[in-house]
Amino acid sequence: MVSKQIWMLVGAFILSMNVHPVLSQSSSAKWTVVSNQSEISQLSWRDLESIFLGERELWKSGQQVIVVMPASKTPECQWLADLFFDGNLTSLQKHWLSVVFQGRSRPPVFLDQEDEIIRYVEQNPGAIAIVFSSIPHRLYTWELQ
Amino acid sequence: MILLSLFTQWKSVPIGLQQAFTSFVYGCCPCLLVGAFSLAPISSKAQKTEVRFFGHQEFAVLDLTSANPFGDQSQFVIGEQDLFINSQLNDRISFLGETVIRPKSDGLFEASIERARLKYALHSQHSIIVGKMHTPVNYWNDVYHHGRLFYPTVDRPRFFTMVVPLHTMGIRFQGQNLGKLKFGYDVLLGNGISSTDILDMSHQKSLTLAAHIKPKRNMRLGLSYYRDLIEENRIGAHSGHGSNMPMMENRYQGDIAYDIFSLSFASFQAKNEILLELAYNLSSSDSLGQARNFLSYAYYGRRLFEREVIYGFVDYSKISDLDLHVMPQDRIKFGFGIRHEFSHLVVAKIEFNRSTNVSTPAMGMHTMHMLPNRNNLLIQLAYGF
Repeated sequence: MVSKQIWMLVGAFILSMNVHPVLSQSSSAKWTVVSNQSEISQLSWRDLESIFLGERELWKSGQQVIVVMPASKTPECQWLADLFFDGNLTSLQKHWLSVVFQGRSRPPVFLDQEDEIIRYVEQNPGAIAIVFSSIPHRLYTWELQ
Repeated sequence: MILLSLFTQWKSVPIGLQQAFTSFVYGCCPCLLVGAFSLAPISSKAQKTEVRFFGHQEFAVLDLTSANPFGDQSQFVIGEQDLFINSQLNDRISFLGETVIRPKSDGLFEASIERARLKYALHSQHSIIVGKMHTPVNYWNDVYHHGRLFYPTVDRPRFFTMVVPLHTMGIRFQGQNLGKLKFGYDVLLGNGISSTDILDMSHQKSLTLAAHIKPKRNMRLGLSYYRDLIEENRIGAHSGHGSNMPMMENRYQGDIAYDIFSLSFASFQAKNEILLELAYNLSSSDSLGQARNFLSYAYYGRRLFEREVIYGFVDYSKISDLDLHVMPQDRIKFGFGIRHEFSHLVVAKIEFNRSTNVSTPAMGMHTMHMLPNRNNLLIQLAYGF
């Protein structure tokens, strides 16, 4: 049962150069997966990629997966494209437009500021995002497997 | 604001367009109501309604008779305008609607609900879908629908006007992204080719079985089987075959057992794009027996620069002389063009294509005319937002 206090489970996701070569070329920002789903502690890189490609509709809890992403005009969106689309922001946009048009995935939520993203994830069960700013201290940190 | 602007200029709009627009409003009023109450991105209840619009416009130089080297006519053309609505109703149920307004040859417009479906997520990768939808017979119909923005070329393959059923009303069981190869399946039971969106004259339903794998990102290999009984060879609302059927007075009036086996391969990578569609159609009547038709479409595109793709395609259709559903033909269409992607929302294409007969079908009651050779120069602007 969800208490008033919002528990946010945070997967601390620090990738080494060996795991994902692309990241070595991007900023040295810390990449953090944020969600209120405890399941993210079990996520692998492949699972995370699948979620951010719109290939997964429900969590094990039965709640819908809501992908939250930074708006395309922000540098954070480019970093997201670095993670999953070989650095091609247009490919990210085309991919999501296409899968939503096909009806195979739900549209992601695009927000301008990271604090808006974190607030959205707090308020919406099932939401998941990757943020690049510092983690609020009241959050739980989990290491992704 | 757009509706207010249109209302104030309503009296200056041609009557035909007024009537078409009124029909459009009545026809998709529920969709408009949902769109009018679309929610802001931030919602504590996580319900999200998204309204998008897709369309295209063209300039065409058409050579219809091969007699004039400069073509017979040229025209600016307004293409289909597509209102797309997607709404998440709760954690498991979502709605997708697609309403298209298209111009008719008489200068008026017609509205059509192309997709109106509810999807229930049984599990993370398995769903039940009910309503009107495109048949997952092949990659093109399952992925592109009416979105010219997504088409790699100006127009869809010819076999959509001859063999492939575009839509159906029915129930669909779907699975996707299963396992390492991202296996997907579709089982679709729905109204057949001879039906409309509200009427099917028998208990006979069409069946579509489809499966695919995605061994690599942006790559898909799929197979499908479609089965239907076209009662009294009627043209329904879902076929799109009318332009290639014999005239009514000469048309076969009996039932036609209809099977389509399809193979699709698509690979859209950073530099190279490949799309291959193959269809083998069995069309059986009591009168002439079984007709075996073969249709194929092959596309290749090469990305020259970040936003430019040059492409070529070959579209071959062989309809047997024994076929009583569509007119026999042995025809090939090939073309080449260049596509410029201004962004993911605006794409321009310039294409030249030529259609010609490979051989002459045997003359008979069901063969009305030889299709003329055609040369076309097309410029298309496709957009979405």
